[in-house]
Amino acid sequence: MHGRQKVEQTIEEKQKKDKERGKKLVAYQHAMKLIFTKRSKNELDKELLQISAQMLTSNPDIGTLWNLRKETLLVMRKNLDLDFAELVRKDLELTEVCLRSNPKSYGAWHHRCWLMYETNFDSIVNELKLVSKYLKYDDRNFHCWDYRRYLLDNSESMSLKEELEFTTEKIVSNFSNYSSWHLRSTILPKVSDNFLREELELIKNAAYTDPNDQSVWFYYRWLLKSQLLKETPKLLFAQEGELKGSSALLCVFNVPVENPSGLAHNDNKGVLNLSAYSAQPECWSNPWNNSRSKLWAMDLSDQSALIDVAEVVTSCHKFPKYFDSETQPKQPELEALLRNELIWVSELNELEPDNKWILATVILLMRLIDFQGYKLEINNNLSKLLELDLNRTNYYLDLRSKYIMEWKLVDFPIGAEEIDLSNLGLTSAYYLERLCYIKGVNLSGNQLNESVSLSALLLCERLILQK
Amino acid sequence: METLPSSFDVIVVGTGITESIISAAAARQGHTVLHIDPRDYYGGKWATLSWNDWVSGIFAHPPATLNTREFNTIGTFKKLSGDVENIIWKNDVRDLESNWYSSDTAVMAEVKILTRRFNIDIIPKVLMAREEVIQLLIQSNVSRYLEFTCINKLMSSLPPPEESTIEPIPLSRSDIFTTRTISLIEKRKLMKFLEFVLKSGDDSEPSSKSTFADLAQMHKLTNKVTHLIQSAVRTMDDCMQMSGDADGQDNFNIKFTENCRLFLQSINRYGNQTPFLWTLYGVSEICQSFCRLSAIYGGTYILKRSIETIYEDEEEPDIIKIQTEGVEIKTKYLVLCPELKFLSIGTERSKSPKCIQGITLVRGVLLVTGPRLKDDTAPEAAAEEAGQSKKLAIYRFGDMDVIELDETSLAVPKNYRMLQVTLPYREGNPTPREIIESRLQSYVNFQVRKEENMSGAEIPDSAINPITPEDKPTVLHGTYFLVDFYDDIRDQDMEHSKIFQCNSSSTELKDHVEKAREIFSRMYPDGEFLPKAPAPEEDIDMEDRDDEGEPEDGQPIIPMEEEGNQNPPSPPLGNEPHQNGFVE
Repeated sequence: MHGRQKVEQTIEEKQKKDKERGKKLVAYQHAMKLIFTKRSKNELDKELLQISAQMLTSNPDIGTLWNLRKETLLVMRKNLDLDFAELVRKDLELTEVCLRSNPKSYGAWHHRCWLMYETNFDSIVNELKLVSKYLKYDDRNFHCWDYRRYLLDNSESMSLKEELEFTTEKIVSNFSNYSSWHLRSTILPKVSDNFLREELELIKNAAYTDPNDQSVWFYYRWLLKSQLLKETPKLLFAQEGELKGSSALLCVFNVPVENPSGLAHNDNKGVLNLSAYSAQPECWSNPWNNSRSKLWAMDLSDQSALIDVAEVVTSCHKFPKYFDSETQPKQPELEALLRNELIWVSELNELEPDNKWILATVILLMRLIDFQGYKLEINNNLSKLLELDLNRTNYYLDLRSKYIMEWKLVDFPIGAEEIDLSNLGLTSAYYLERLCYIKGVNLSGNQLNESVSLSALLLCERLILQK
Repeated sequence: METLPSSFDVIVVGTGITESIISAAAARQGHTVLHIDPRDYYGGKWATLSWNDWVSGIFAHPPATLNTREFNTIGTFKKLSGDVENIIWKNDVRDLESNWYSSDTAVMAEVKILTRRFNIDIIPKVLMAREEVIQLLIQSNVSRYLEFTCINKLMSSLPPPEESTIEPIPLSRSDIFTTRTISLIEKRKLMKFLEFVLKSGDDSEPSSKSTFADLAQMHKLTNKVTHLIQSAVRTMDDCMQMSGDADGQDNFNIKFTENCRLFLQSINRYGNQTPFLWTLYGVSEICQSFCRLSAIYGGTYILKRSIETIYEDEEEPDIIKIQTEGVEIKTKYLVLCPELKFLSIGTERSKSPKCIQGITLVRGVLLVTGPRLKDDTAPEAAAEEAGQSKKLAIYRFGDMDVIELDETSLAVPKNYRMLQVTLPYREGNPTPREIIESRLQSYVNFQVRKEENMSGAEIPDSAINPITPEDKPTVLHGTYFLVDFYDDIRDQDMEHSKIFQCNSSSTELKDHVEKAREIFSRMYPDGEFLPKAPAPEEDIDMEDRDDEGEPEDGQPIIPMEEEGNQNPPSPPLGNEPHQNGFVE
C-alpha cells in the first residue's frame, strides 16, 4: 500500500520471526524435496497439486510450483475421466487465496492469466469483479491493472465502454493513478473519435486541484502528443561529398531509418526512390555502424554511372524548417486548441509559479504552438526549471541544448561552409547530421558532455572544441 | 420490590450523556453506583423515542413519576448549615408544538403501527470520525455496543443571492476534483488552503493561531469558498456566537485551524465521505452503552425513580443522604442531571439562578416523503443505481442544520424520510414552528391540507406554489420545540464538593464528555477515567456474565418497572449488518 510508514521491528520481534522462519524453512525444504521426487518419477497427479497448493498458500511466489501446476493440469486435461473445468476452478480459488495474503504476487496473477488463456476467457465477469475488489483495497496495485488490460486485450466479451467508465470511476475517486490514466489512454482511441475536449476538461480540473500530481501531467502530455501527425520516414537532404577518398552521397533522414534504400522522398516533383539507384545494402554506411541512423552515406565509386546524383541533390537540397512532429506546423484547429490550452496552463503557472510540472507543460505547449516565436519564454522557463529542480539539472541542460540547436539550425543557410556554435552553453550536440556537409564547426566555449559523438560531421575539416 | 443496599459510593440521577459516562467511569473503577432516572426511558434530553412516545410529547414535560409541587418543586435539600433549598425540575425541552400537515389517515395509521421503526432523537448528534468522543468509545470498549453508519453528503446553501441553491461542499481532494460548484481558480485556492490548514498543526507553526478570517484573507478565498468552508466547519455553538461577533474573535474563528484539521482528518477514517458518522438507533444508544458498561461493572439501575430529599448529616459529614420513595440511602457522591436544580427558599432575588449562560436550540422534526432536498446524483447514475441510492445527508442553511435521514439510519421506516432541523434560538423570536416553517419553505413543501385545497375553485398546483411541489420533499408531520442548554453558574461557596450537577452550556457532545471527565476527576482525582478495556479473555468472561442476567432487549437493567413501560428503542446489537465498528 502507498503512503504508509514502515514500522521498525524490535529485536525481540525479529528473533521471534527468525525462529518461525527457521521452522518454515525445514517444512519448505521437506515439501520441495517431496515434490521434486514426484516430478522426477513423472507423478504429475492430484497429490502433487495438493502439496504444491499448500506450499503456495503460505508463499505464493514460488514460480517453479506454479509451473509444475501448469504442467500437471495440461497432463490431466488429456485424461477425460477428470473434470478439467473443475480443476481450473480450484486453481482459480487457490490463486485467490494466495492473493488475499499477497495481492501483489506475480506468480499468482500470472497463473491466473494462464488459466484464463487455457479456458478461453470464459469466466470473465467473475474476473472483473475480482480485479475491481482488489483495486478497491489498493487502487494503485499495478498487478490488477496489468491483469485487467490482459483480459481486455484477449476477451471479446468485454465492453470497452464499460472499461472506460471503470477508469473514470477510479480517476474520480483518486486521480493520482498512472494505471487508470494509462488504461484510459489505450481505450479512448478505440471507443471514440471525439474524446479530446472532455479529456482536456478532466485534466484541467485535476491539474487545478493538485498540480503536484505527476500522473495527470503525464497523461496530458500523452493526450497532446497523440494529436500530432505521425512521422513517416523520409529523405530530407542529399549532397555529394568526398568521403575517405571516394565520392559519396550523404543522405539525411527525418528519423533514424534501418534500410535507406527502400525509402521514398515525397516532394513537389513527385516520388524519388533511392532504391532505384542502389539496392545493394553494402554500399550504404553510417559513421557509427549502427543498424538505424538518420545519416547514411552511399558509396558512389562503383555505381556513379547508375545514379543521377544531380537530380537527387536538387530535389533534396534543403532541410525543412522544423525538426520533429512537435515542431512541425499544425492544422489551424489544433493550433487554436493548443493556444487555448496554453491560456489555462499559464494561468495556473501564475498561481503556482514554482511548480515544475506546470513549467514543463508550458514549455511543451509553446514548443507545439510556435517553437521559434516562443524562444525567449521557453528559455526563461528552462532557466526557472534549472533553479527549481536541481535533481534534473542535466535533463534540462540537455533539453536546452536541443532547443538551442533547433533555433540555430532553423535559419541556417544551406550554402554556408562554416557554423559558429561557440559559447552557447551546449552540453550535448543535437542534429549534427544536418551539418554533415559543413567544413568548419566552432563548438568552443560549451560544456559538451564527454560522450557526445561528433562523427556526424563527415566533411568537417576545421573543428574548434576548446572549452 | 427487592431492597436496595443502604449505601453507595455514587448515586447518579438522570441518564443523560454526562451522567451515564460518570456512572460508567465510577463503576469501572470498582465503586458502587446507584443510577436512577425519573423518566421511564434512558437518555434524559439525549433520549431517542419511538413514534408513539414522540407524538405523546412526554419529553416536553416533567417526568410523570415526579411528585411535583409548586414551581416544579420535587423536594428539599437540607444543608449542614441549616439552610434549606428546594429541589426543582426544570424541563430543558419546552414549547412543544406538533402538527399533521397531511390529512392522509392511512399514513397516520401506518406510522402508529410502525412506531418502533422510529428512533427519533430529541437532540440528534453526528460524530466526527476522529473526535475525542470516538477515542473514548474505543478505549473504554463501549464501542462494541454501538453501530454507526456514514453520513454520505454534506451540502450547503450558497451565499446570497444564490441562497436557494443547494450544492455539496467539496472538501476532499476527489470532491474538489469533480465538483462543478466552484471555479478552477477556486479549486486551486481551496486546495491550497486546506493543505495549509492540515500542515499548520504538524510543526506548530505560529500560523495555527490565525483566525479563519485571517487565513481566508491570506489565501484570497472568494466569498463562495469562504461561505462553504464556514458552513462545513462551524458548529451550532459557533452559530450562536458568530451572529453577534463581526471582529473575527469568536470561537469559530479562534479555534478554526484546530477544528478544521479535525474535520479534514475525520474524512474517510471509516470509509466516510464526510467527516460525520450517524449512530444507528439514535444518540441515546451512546448513553445506554455507557450505562451498560456501568451495569457490567456492578452498577444498579432503576428507571422511573427519583429522589425526594437530600440532606447532610452532622454525624457523618462525609456522607450525603437521600430519600427515594421513602427509602434512605447514603452516598459519598451525588451526581444530578441538568434538569434538577436547587432554589434557595425565602430569598426572592435568587429564585432564578445567579447567572445563566448557554444557548437554546430551535428544533424541528419533520416526517417527509418525496424527493430529497437535493438529489445530486447525475441522472444516468441515478437511473442505474435506482433504489439503492440510500444516503444520509447534512445540509447547512446558514445557521440552520438539517440532517436528512432515510431508513439506513434506522431512525425512520422505509418509504419515509426524516428531517432533523436545528438552529439557535434568539430571544424575541417567533414560535419554533413559525421559525422553521419560514426558514424551510423554499426547500420543502409544507403540504396544504386537502380541505383547504378544495375550497378554492380548481386552482392548479403550480398556481399555489410557483416552484413545482414535486421537486421538493413533502412534509407530512412536524414537531417543533425548544431545548435549553444552560449552565447556572453558582456562587463559589455554593460549589458543593459532594454534589455535582451535569449542567453544560454547550450543545456539543465533546463538551458534555469533558464535563463528565471533570466531575469524575473531582470525585476521584487519582482514578483513571474509563481506562482501556480488559484483555479479550477477561472480556468474554464479562460478556457471559452480563448476558446471563440480562433481559431480552439487551438493556443492562436490573429492576425494571414492568407494565406499559416503553423500553427505549434498542434492538439487540449484532442482528443488523455491521455497518461501522470502531476498530483501530
